[in-house]
Amino acid sequence: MAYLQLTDLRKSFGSTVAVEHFSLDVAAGEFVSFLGPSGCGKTTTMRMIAGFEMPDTGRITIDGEDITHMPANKRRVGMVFQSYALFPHLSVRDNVAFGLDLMRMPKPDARKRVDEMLDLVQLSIQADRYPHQLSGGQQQRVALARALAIQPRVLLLDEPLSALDAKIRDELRNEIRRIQLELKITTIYVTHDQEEALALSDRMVVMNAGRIEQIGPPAEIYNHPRTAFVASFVGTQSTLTGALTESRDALNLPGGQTVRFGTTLTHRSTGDSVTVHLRPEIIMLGEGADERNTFRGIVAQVMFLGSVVRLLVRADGHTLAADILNNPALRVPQIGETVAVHFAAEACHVL
Amino acid sequence: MNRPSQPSVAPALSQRLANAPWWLLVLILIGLFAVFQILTNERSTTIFNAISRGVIVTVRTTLIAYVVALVIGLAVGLARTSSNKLIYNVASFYVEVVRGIPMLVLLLYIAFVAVPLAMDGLNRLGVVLGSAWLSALTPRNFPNEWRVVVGLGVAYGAFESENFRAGIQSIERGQFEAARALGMSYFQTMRFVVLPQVIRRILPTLGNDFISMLKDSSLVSVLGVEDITQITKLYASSTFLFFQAYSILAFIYLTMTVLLSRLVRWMELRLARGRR
Repeated sequence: MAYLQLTDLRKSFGSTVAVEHFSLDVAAGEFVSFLGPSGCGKTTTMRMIAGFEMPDTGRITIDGEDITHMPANKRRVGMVFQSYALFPHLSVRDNVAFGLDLMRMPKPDARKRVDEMLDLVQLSIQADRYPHQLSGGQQQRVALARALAIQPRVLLLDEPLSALDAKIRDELRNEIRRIQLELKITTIYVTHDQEEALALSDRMVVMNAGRIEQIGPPAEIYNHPRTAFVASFVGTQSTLTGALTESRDALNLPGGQTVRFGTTLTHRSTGDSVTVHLRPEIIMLGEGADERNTFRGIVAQVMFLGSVVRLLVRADGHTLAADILNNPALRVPQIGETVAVHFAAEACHVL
Repeated sequence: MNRPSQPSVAPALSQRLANAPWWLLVLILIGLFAVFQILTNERSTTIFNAISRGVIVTVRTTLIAYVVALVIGLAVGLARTSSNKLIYNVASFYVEVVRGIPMLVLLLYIAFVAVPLAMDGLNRLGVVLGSAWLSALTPRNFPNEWRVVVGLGVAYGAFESENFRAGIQSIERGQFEAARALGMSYFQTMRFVVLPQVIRRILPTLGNDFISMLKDSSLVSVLGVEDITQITKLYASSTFLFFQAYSILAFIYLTMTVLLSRLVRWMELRLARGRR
């Protein structure tokens, strides 16, 4: 049975529906992230699990216990906030010990637990400092230790890395996953950063406009998006829309060009409008065999992203994003240059 | 502009003279003159001795009323941040009414209207409960000094509640939620997380309000309480030494307020230097 169970949750604020038809089963020890643009309802859903918002309808259970209407302070759920929310008037040690004092844990035990937690987040040396003497990354580690100290049944992380620098963000991201795996704690992670969600999660819940778009492991979400929203939100995309051909394994663009894709759409009829989604990593420079799926156009933009160079190529009114792996010997096409790009039929994702 | 490469050069003498706190020097000179007068002029000594008897009354009423104001202020401040609409509205009614009435009128009202009404109410309650003690209470059982304490306390309670409310609302929402998630009840959250931070933030304002209250305590002389102002009034009208008497009165107030405001300033600097 699922450890954390959310059943048909709905929450509205006035006339705005923030979340509806939200059902999810999370296994014990699983790391699930909620991904979506701001206002999609991911934070509201997390706040319902924490007890800061009460759902209009629906049910939340942890380990079989119904907590839907339980006050937040009785739930034993750990929470980490984007703004850290450390108590500025308490030292690092006292911040972490805070929840334990409330639980009336005997002093020596509490001290031992705090030491363990600080060790876990590698902040033992800073134990007697105050929050304002720490960097943002360190503060968030303290917040994590504080949330974990009470041995919560579920750990909730609300965009914990959004306020940090890129380098610290990557570091702490790995840290969070390491700790989560070590403690085997059931975790919900809210983020609008698809890369974070892909890197961390066992499963992802992609949300839009208050509803779940797709639930699945990162690879499945990335490789087989089930809706146009998921496809466009997870990974930069080029799209080509046209009418399905008679053979139903290709489409005709308005400009007359034919795009072949690897599958035959048996459940669609000829002339239907279909869209092919193309990831930048499958579009390659040069011409395809027999000129198949090949476009000629002008380089509109060149973005150097480090490991890859992304080209935006404008061809027949379409913009195609193509990534080429960087290497120092590579000659990168310049803006305004005419190039050919192509992609394999099998790599197309049709929706 | 700072020029780190050079050792800091003392600003020119003329500039230092222009920036010196001349007002303070004048104040100190006047103070020294007053002290000199009080020590050497027999009449001034007599006046000073007569008036300073009232300092205890002034300080005592101010201190007690201040504590009353802080208690009311904290309770009402919490009520004003409450999500319970009834509690919020009752508290807001009190704050808006009290803040809209002049201090002097409020004191008179509490002393001559509210206290007798309350006594009347207690008498009736005494009849109902069969308590001879309650039924025998009259406004005379409620000394003027107590009325003053209630009056000042109720009036300043409204101001202090606004300080507490603003302080509580300045604490970010995450603090409340983090405390709740760690298992705290509403009161524990306030007691251990919110109020320690609020008090830090509003301490200078609280100190300044104490000074204001000390000054406003002079209003209690209209109720016949023998604070320094009342004693001076009586003394001056019986001896016609208006100039000396009121000068010494002003000097005593000034001494107390200047010392207190230095104290508040020091406190502020300490807080600014320390943690947030």
